[in-house]
Amino acid sequence: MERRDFIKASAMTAATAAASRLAVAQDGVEPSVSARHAGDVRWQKAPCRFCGTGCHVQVGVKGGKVVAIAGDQQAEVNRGLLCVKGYHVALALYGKDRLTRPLLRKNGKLVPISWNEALDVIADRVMLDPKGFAFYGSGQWTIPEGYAAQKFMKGGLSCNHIDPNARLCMASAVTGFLAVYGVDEPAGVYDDLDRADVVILWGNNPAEMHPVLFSRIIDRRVRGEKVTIIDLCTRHTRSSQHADHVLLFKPHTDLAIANGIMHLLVERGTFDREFVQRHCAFRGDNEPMDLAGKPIDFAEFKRRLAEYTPEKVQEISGVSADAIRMMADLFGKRDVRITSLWCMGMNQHTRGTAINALVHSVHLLSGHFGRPGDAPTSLTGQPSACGTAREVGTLAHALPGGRVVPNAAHRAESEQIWNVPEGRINPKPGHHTVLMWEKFSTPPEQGGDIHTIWVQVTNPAHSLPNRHALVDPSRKIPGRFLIVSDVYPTATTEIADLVLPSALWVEKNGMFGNSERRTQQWYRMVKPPGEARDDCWQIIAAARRLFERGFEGMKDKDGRFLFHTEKAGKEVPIWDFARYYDVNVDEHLFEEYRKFSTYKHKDLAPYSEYVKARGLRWPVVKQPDGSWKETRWRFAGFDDPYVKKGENVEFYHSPTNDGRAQIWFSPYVLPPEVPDDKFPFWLCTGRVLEHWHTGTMTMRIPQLRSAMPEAYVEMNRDDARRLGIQNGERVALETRRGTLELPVWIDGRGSPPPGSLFVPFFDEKRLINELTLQAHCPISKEPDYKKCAARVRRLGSGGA
Amino acid sequence: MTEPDRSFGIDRRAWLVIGAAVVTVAAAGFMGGAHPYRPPPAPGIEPVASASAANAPVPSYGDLAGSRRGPNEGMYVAAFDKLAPGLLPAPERPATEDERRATIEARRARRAFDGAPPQIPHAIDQQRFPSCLTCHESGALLAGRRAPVMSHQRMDNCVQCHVVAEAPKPLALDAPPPNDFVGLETSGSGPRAWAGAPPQIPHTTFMRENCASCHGPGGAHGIRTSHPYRQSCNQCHASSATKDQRALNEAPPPWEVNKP
Repeated sequence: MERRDFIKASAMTAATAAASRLAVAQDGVEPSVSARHAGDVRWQKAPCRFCGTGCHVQVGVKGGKVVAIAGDQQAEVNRGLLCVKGYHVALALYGKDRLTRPLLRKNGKLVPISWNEALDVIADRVMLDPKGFAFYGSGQWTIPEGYAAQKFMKGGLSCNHIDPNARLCMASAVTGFLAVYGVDEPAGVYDDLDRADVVILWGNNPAEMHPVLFSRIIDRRVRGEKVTIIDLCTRHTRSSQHADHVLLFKPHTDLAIANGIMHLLVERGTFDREFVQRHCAFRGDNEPMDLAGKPIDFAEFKRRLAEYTPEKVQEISGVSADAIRMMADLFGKRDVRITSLWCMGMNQHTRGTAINALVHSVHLLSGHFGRPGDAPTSLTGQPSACGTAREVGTLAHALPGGRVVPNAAHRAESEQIWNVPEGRINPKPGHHTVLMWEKFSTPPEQGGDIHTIWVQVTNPAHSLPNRHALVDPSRKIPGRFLIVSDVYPTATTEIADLVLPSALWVEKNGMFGNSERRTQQWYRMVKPPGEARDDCWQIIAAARRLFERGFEGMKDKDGRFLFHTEKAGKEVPIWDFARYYDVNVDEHLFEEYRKFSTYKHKDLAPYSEYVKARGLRWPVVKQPDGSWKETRWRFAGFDDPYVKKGENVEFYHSPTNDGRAQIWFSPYVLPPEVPDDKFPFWLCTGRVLEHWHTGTMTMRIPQLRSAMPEAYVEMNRDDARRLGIQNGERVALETRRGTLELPVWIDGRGSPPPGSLFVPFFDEKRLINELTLQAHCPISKEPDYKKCAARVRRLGSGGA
Repeated sequence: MTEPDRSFGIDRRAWLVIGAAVVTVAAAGFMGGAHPYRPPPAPGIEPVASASAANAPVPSYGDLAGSRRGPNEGMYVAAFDKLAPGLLPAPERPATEDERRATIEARRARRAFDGAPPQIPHAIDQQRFPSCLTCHESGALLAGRRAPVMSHQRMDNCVQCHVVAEAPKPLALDAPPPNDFVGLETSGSGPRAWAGAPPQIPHTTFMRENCASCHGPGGAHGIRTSHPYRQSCNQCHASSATKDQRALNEAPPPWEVNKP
């Protein structure tokens, strides 16, 4: 506290005390001690730690601890409102069992060691063979953390085996954007939700998963506005409750529905002829399927769509032909504004890239694009899936700013910005997530070429599909080593060889990038517990240890440390944690990273601009008066400075380099596993409102855990009656990959149709992902957690 | 929340009378007012003309207060006479320190910190929830208890912020997770410029725009108004500059004062 503040505060305390005495005389009660100091709370801004919505919270700090949270009224995303997770986010810092010391497994037990020893262990593992060292990161990495890891691996180890958990949640969204627009991330923004006449939820339950956005839509009705919500779903949810049309479809048949809408638009001639002629081209699948596909003409497009008549679509999907016509009617009207929303339902899909591309195509074909309220908008589940995984490009094939490792020019540009020798970056893409873990779990003599994985900010032993095949075998192969940085004990730290305690959220400086291209910044506000330290520092300190051992990769072209950081012309030893905050390492890393951002017109402003703002949506472009302006509607002439003057819409990163976006046709095909006599149910997995991801944070928050204490299996009432199962009865849920005991909850949070089951994945005591498929989209490599075949057995009986 | 026998500043006996009156009025209204259910005539039996009151015009509950009729007329008069003073309490006696503490404690029990959305103290339908507003929009009176009125404007996804305090059946909580978080306390009474001056508002009014939610005649003893007939609160009560208003602090960056 500054002296001036202190004097002011003292004077106020005196005045307050005097006033309090009067109040006492009046009310007969003296305010408690803490109450008298309520004015001492220091409030700062930060984005919420949890989902990809990107709400800003105000963090109240007193006595070195976070004591309260408030919704930030200045934030455009949430306008002061939060969800129950956001209001309780501060409690995530204070679970009793925070990790506070590095732990090394010795004789089967994790025992405390010093940071110095821990860094030596990491360096030893790298020196063993840098080509077999992998990094498994996350869409919860801050932007500087992801950037540091990216530079450490690709610029330091010349090794591309770095991939994020985001591969499991939005890889198909990325490939969808690339296939259609030639560049990743949505064109629209949340402002569309304020303007749309119709909102279509494609397998999406935002009432629980993106509650603040859902409220932004339905609260318009309270203000007297009309917005029609169409819920295309595989189970009845809280979102369905607010929908005007609830259209239940059979799992995987969303492709048929999208094709059915396009078929009618073409057949009736109600598509937007002018928009398509000026801005679009047509494309179909290659054999085998790939990102580029092959060009087709309009006649061919029409011919392929021909079989998707409303009646045929009804037969495939279970959605009535009338409902398909109703949606085609809406898309056929130019004066109606339509926004589509989706998240994991379309992404975790063995045809994930195709369905993403198809929904974009419905919007392009009908011209419902590029006007406020008209947008196909993909939502993300993690706070920085966009900012870090996608933009920094912490993926096995990517380099920062939309570059890719096989491209020589991209490698050269990256080497130049990193000031590393030419040829430092390996031209061969590394292993994507599923492959990385497969190789880690395969003995070296059978081709398993990953000996060590360093995991940060994620919990793969809980979240990977089919853990029996991807994770567990590695624990029995000699020489396999698992390093895990985390804040709490998790299913992954439990099986790790080295556990590193990390700082969490406002215990460190950070930056996130949300679902609408908004880059956000916050400052460290409290100290992490014990010896817990920033993930970013951990990477830099490991790099330094290698540098000290003479590892060439950790030197730049001039022989300096790869993360060389200066203040006033002198190097700051940021690898020493006591000196780490002598400079703002985030700012230094971000200013370097920012140079990468202009190539794909995802321009980022200087760090200092984000300090002032509640996030800015890229491209953020400098104005003649020196100010920085964000962009809301990308590719739209009225708002995007990179669209050619005079054009309404321009796709300036078109995959065909002619300013055109691609309208795709992709057929409906059967999913890899369908219910049969032995496994007669569809099994879907997902989230619930109260818990975030694998629950490592939210399950330690009493208010959230009491409201949703354990995983369950949702079942249709008629199915339960037929099998003689009571509500609340514990049953065995079985797939070809495993068995899990769960209580049955009938008409609880959701209601699946007959023949369908749903299980949330947050509960570490009941790992549903041991039962799901590892089959993935051939283009995005994202696994399908949303459907496989299952059966239910009553305990102590043989039933099915 | 407060015990029902204190929430209107009248004693338990009065509450019994009011409770009985409400039940009686409801029963009388049902029997005397609404169309009674008449089973369809059984085959072979001739319907007989009924002399019941079913053909009389149906009065509303509101009408009953002014147009009394029927054999229980006297009861209506008594019931409504008793109800009336409950809604606008007589001038308050100041709350004792214990009463004030009990009120603060009850508020704290339902919130992680001052300003957190309170938990729901009863079971709810987990999937279909249009019913929250039925009671909480206007503060319905049920079995002698008043449902707390929303302190903020109407928003429709209530369960986005408010979750149940007890595990929804059939799910079960094994044990609450240990957590060392210590939540911010209420900021206490509003300061007064001099004895007798109107107290200032000691807390933020964002999401607490409806003062009557906590301070109205249905509020808990110790924080409710002594003058419920005055409706424009901000005319006399302004925000306190010394109490926590959740204003954002600007520079210096906290990381500079919080070095490892």
